Amino acid sequence: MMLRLWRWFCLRHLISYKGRTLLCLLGVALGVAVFVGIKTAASSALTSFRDTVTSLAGSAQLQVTGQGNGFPEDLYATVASSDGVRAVTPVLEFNVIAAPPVDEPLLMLGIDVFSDREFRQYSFVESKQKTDAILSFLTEPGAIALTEKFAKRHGLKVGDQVEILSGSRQLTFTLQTLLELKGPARALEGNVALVDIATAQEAFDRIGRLDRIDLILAQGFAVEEVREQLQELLPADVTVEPPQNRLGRIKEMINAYRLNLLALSLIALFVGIFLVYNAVAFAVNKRRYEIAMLRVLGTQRWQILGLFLSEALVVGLLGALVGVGLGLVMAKFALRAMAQTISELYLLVRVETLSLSPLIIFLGAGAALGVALLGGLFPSLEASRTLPREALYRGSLERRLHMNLGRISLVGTVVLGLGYFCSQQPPVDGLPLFGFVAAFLILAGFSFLTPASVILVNRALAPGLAGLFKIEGKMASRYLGRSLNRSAVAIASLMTALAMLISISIMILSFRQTVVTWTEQIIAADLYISPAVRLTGQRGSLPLELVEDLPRLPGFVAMERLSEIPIRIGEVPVLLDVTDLEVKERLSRIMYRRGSSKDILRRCRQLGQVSISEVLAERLDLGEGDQLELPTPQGIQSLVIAGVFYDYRTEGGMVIMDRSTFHRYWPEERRYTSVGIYFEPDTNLEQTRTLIRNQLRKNQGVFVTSNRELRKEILRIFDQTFSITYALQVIAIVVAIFGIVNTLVLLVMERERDIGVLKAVGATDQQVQRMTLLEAGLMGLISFVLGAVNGILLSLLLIFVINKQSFGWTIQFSVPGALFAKTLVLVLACSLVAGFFPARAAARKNVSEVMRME
Amino acid sequence: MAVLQNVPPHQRPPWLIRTVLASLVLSLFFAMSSANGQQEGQAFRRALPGYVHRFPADHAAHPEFRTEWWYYTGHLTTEKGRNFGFQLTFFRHALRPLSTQSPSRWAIHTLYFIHFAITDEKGDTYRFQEKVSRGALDMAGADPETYHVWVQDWEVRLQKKIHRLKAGKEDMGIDLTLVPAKGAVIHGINGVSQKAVGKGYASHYYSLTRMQTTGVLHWQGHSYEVTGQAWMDHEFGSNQPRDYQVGWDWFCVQLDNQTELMLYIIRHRGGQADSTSSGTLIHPDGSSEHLLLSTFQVETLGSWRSKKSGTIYPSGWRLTVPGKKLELNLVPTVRDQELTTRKSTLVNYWEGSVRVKGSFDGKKVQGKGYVELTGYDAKFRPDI
Repeated sequence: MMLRLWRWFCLRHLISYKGRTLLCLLGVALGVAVFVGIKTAASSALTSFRDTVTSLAGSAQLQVTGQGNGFPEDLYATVASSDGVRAVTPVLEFNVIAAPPVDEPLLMLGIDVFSDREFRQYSFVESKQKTDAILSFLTEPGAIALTEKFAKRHGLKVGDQVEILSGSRQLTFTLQTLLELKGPARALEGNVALVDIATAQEAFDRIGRLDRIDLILAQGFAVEEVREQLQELLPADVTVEPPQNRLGRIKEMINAYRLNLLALSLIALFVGIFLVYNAVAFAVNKRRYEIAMLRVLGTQRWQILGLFLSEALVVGLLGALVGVGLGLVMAKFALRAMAQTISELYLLVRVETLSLSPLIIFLGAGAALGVALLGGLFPSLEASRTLPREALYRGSLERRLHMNLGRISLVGTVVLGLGYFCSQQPPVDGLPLFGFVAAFLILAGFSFLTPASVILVNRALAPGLAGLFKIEGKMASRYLGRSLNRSAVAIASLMTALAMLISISIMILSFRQTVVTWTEQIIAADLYISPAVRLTGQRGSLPLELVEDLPRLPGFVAMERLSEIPIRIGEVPVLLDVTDLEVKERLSRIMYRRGSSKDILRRCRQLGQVSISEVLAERLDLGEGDQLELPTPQGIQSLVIAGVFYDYRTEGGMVIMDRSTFHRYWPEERRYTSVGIYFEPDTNLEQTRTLIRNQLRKNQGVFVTSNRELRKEILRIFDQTFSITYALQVIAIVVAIFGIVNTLVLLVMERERDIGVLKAVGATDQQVQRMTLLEAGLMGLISFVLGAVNGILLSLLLIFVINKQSFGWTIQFSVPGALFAKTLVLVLACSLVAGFFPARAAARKNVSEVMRME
Repeated sequence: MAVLQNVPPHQRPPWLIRTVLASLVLSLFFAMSSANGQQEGQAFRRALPGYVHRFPADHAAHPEFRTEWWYYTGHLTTEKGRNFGFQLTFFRHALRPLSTQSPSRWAIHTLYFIHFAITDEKGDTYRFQEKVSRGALDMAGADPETYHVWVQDWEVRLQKKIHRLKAGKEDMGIDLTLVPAKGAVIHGINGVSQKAVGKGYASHYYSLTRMQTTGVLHWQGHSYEVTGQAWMDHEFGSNQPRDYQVGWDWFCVQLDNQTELMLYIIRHRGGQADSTSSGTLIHPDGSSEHLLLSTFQVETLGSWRSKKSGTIYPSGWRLTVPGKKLELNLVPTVRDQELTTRKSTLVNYWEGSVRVKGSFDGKKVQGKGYVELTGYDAKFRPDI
C-alpha cells in the first residue's frame, strides 16, 4: 500500500521535476564526491607508499640512512661487525628518468645481490637468453635489470640500450635481465631498475658512498637496543631507524593535506543541506492540496512525514551513488597531486591504482543520507502538519510560518562567538582542528543570522528600491521580507557558497601576491643554471668543469653556487641551502621577517651563523638568536640562528648557510645543485645562454633559465597546486545559483494567489515579471553582502590560523577589490537569469485560474 | 674436492640470486666450452704438470687460478666423550681476472663462499650454515701472501705451522687450532691431479691428512672443549670438469694405525667411472703412493633418500685396495648430512662423517673418515 502510494505520490513528482531532482542530487553528490575523492586518494597514496616502503625494506629491521650524498661506505664494515647485527646489505638509491621516448621516472637501486638476498627476493624472469647474460649483470659495467612490466610497456628487450637521465647526466645501460613484478620490484608499480652496486657507484659518480644500509638483527636482540647502540657508534648525520618510521612521517603530511580538502567537502555538504531543504520545501508546497487530500482519505501524519523523508532519502541515495562515482574520478586527480608531493619530499612514488576502502564509501554515502535527512526533515515535518481541511480551503495554503527571529539571531550570535573562541586556540597535534571548527561555526553563525540580516538589509534598501523601481520595487522588497522562511534558506545557501568562494580566493590571491613579491626579491641573478633532471632525494648536480668555466663568460660579475642537501632535523625534512652568501649580500637579498638582509647575511658569513625558514622556526619552535642543533658528519653542531626568513618552497623547512661554514662540517661535499649568475647590465643574455650550452659535453643536460622565466615557473607551479580548489569552488557556486532558481520558483508558487489578486486589481504582466526579477536580484545582492563579510572573516581564519598552523607560512593579507566586483556581477547576473523563468511563469498566471479556489 | 655442480641452462631456478649463482656455477664448469669462457679462461693460469708445491707459501691463495678451495673436515670429542663431526670449506672463485680495473671497491672480481656443517653423533643431528660475499671493503678475501681466507668473521689463518679456524656463533660455532702431524701430501702425478682426459683438465691438489685439533665447539647453546683429528684439502685450478662428468664420490679415511687413504671416483653421465679417478695411500711415516683406478674398488652398500631435496644418495661403502690388502667398511655416523645450499652454490650435496672398520695387511683396523657425494641431485643433472 505504502509502496504504491510512494510510487504515485513521490516517484511521479521526482520524475516530473527531473531537472530539480537532478540538481538537488548533484548538490548532495558534490559534497560526497569531494569527501570520497580526497579520502580515497589519501588512503591510496598511503597504501601505495606503505607498499613501496615495506616492499623496498624487505625484511630489514633497521635502516641506516645518510643525508644528501649518503655516507662513506666504510661505515658498512662498522655496522656489519657491530653487536646484535646478523645480516647487512648496502643500497644506493636513485630517482632517475628513463630518457624519452620512454620518459618515465624509475627508482634505481644499486644492490649487492649476495647480501641483499637475506632481505628481499628479486624474482627473475625465466629467459631463453644465455646464462652468461646474468653473469654479466654482475660483471659488465652498465648492466641493468628492469621489471617485465616496464620493459613490455616500452618494448624493451634483453640486450637493448636503456638511456637514463639523472641530474645533468645521461647514462647508457644495457638491459641484461628482467624482473618479475614481485617483492621489491612491485614498488612504484614496477618502475624499478636494478644495477649492481659497483655499477651504480661508477655510473652515478658515487664511488665510496652508500645511501643506505639495511640490517637484520641477531636473535635475542631488541630493535631499540641495537638502534641506540648503532646511533651512538655512527656519525651524527647518519640516522638509524626502523623502516616504518618513514611511514609515520608520510602519514603526518598526508593528514595535513587531507584535512584541508576535507574541510572543503564539509562546506559542500553544508550547502547540500540547504539544497535538500529547498527541494523538499518545494515538493511540499507543490503538493499541499494532494497532502490534504491524502489526510482526508485517512493517511496518518507519520505516513506523510515518511513519504517526504523517503523522497529526500531517495535523492540522498542517488546523490550518494553519483557522489561516490564522481569522488573516485576526483580521487584519481587528487592522488596524482599527492603522489607528486610525497615524491618531492620523501620518496619517489608512483600510484596508478586506487585502493577502494568500503569504509570511506560507506561514510560518504552515510554523509549523503545524513545531509538529505537533515535538509528534508523540517519541510517534511511541516508537510505532516497539514490539516485535512486545507484541502478544501486553498486560501490557508499560504500560511505564514512564523519564525522566532530573536531566538534564531541569538543562536547565531552565540555560535559566532564560539567560532571566534575556537579561532584563538592552538593547533592539535600540528593540525588546525580548532581552526576548521571555527570555520564551520562562522558559516553556521552567519546562516542563523541570515533572516535578521535580510530584514536589516532589506529595510535599508527599501527606500532606494521604492525610489528606483516605484511600486514594483516596494512590492519586491516587501515580499522578500515576508517570505523569510523560504528566502532566508536560499540566501543562506548562496551566502555559504559565496563565502567559500571569496574566502578561498582571498587566501589564494593573497598567497599568490606574497609569492610574487617574494620571487621578485629573492630571484635577483640574471641567469640560473640547473641540472635538466631534478627529482626527489638526489637533486642532480652540475658538471663541475662547467661551473668552473662560468667566470670566463663575457660580462660576468659574480655567481652564487647553490648546493641543496636534503637533511633531517629530528623528524622534520629540511633542505640545507649552501651558497655564496657574500654574493647574495652584495647583489641580492633574502626576505627576513625581522632585521636587514645585509646584516644577517654578514653575520652568517663571518660568524658561521645560519638562517632558517619561518616554517622551520615554527616547527622547531626556534627564533632569532636561538641555537639550531644541526646534524653534520662532524657531529651535532649548535649554530646560532641569525635570522628567520620567509620561504614558500617546501613544507619541510630550510636552513641557509654560507659555503665556508658548510665546508667546515661537510669537507667532502663539492657538488652544486644550481648556480645563479650576475652579469653586467648590458650583457646579451641570449648569447650567453648559447655559450653556456656550447660548453656542455655530450650526455650532459642543464637548463639555463632567466630570472623572469624562473619566477614564471614558480607561479605556474603555484597555480597548478591550487587548480583543484578552483574547480571545487566553481561547482559549489553553480549549485548554489541553482538553489536560487529553486527558491524563486517556490516563492512564485506560494504567491500564486497574491499574484492573481495583483493582476485582478490591474497589475500588468510586465510589472509582475519585473517585481519577481527585482526580488531575485535583491536576494542575490543580500547573499553577496553577507557572503562577502563572511568570506573576509573566513579568509582571515584561513590565512592566519589554518594555514599558519598547518604549514607555517606567513601570507600577507590583501583584499583584492576586483574579486568583489567580479563576484557581485556574477551573483547579480546569475540571480537575474535564475529569476527570469519563475518571473515569466508568474506573469503568465491566469487570473481566473488562481482565483478560482476562492 | 669441489662441490660446484653442473647446472643445465634450461633449468633455471626462479630467483634472480639463484640464477646468478647457477650461472656462475655453470660458468665454473663450462668456462672452457664457451667462447667467452675461453677468452677469460686464458686470463687464468691452468694446472699443468711440473708444478712444484712449496710450503707454507702454497697454503695461501693463488689468484692466478680461477677457482680454489680449502676444505677442512674432522672428528671432535668432548671431555665427556661426545662425538662431533665438522666440515668447514672456503671457496674462492674469480669471475674476472684481477687485472680488471674499477674505481668502485664493490666491483666484482672474486666470490667467496664458506660452507660450515656440524654433525652431532649422539643427537643424530646435522646442521649447516653458509656465507657468500663479493669481498668488497675487505669483508671477505683470500690473502695471496700469507694463508688467510675469510668472509666477515669466519676465517682460517696460518700462525707459524698452526691452522686457526673460526666460524659460526653461539648456537653453532667452532674456534679450533689444528697442528699438522704429517707433512703435505701432494696428490696425482708430477704436481697435478688429473680430473678428466685432456691437457689442463686438472688441478693442483694436496692434503694435510692428519691434524691434531683442539679448541671450542659451540653447539645448541653449550660450549665444549674438544680435541680430535682433522683433514685439510687444498685444491686450485682454472678448468672445470667435462660436460660428460656429472659428479664424484670422494673418501678420506684416517685409520688408527696412522695410515690415511684418499680416493675419488668421477662419474660419467652413464654411471661409469672416469679413467682419471684415483687415490692416495699415506703411510705412517708420511710417505704416499698414488693409486690408479685399476687398483681399487668402491662398492655401495645402501642408499638414503633426502626428505629435503628428494635426492637418493649412496649410504655405506666398502673400499678395497687388493694390492695393499686393504678392506674397509664405511658407515655414516648420521644418515642425513646433506647440504642444501640456498645461498652460495645452490647445489645439494652430501658431505658427512663416517665410521670406518676393516682390515689392513691382515690386521683389524678402525678409524674415521669423511665422504663427499656430488651430482646425485636429479634437479641439476642434465637429462640429455
